[in-house]
Amino acid sequence: MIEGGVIIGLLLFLIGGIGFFVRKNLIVLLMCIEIMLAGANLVILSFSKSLMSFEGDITVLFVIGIAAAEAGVGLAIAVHMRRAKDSLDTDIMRRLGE
Amino acid sequence: MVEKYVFFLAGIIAIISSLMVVFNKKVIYSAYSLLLLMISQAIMFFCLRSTYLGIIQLLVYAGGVVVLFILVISLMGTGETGFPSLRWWNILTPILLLAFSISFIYSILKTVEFIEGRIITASADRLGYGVVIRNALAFEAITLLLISALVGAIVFGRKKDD
Repeated sequence: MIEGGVIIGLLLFLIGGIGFFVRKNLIVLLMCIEIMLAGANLVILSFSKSLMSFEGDITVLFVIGIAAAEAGVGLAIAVHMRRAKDSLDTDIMRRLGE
Repeated sequence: MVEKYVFFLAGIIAIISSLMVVFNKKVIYSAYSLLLLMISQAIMFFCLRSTYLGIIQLLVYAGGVVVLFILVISLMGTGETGFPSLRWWNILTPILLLAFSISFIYSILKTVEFIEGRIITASADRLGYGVVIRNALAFEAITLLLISALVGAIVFGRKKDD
């Protein structure tokens, strides 16, 4: 069960990372970050259970708090971008990097 | 024994629903798939005997974050983009990531020895002691982070003239 948890967590992280690079919608990008954090949570928890400790639970609790803060700020940025540019396509924001 | 099967069933549901998040064309369906992913991950936490974390996962993620996503999508419209023209780095980077992850999983399975012994239960009182007493500084840092995120969200979300 613990090996399975590590593998499933890594696969979730991989799927989130692939989605972050192939999609262009800002809200979907935020969701992909959430998937990556969920996979990381599962890996941390599985390894800590393998070591018979509950330190991983504490770390996962902190990661959940950080993810909630990130989702709030990210969605506020999405609302702002939708209002200013009337789109959520991240290609429009490419001028920021040029 | 039963919880092992439940764990792997929830894991398969989690992987399928995360694929649905990434490859769905409509953003609102991606949000619903994210809800399914969070619920199945809470079930996996329950099977790993972290009941408190499972409850927190249901409350914060499924009840808070995903509902916030759905609310924002249904208020603003989705701003549908679909799958636009991909450039070369959009293709190359996932392939590199895939190769890296497969080699990582292989090396973990080859080298790390997992102890399939008694899985200890992380109850709420142990977890509360660990968070508030032993990791007090990190706890206060999280508090500051959440407050600054709140202020940042208010600043980003308001209109210019008010």
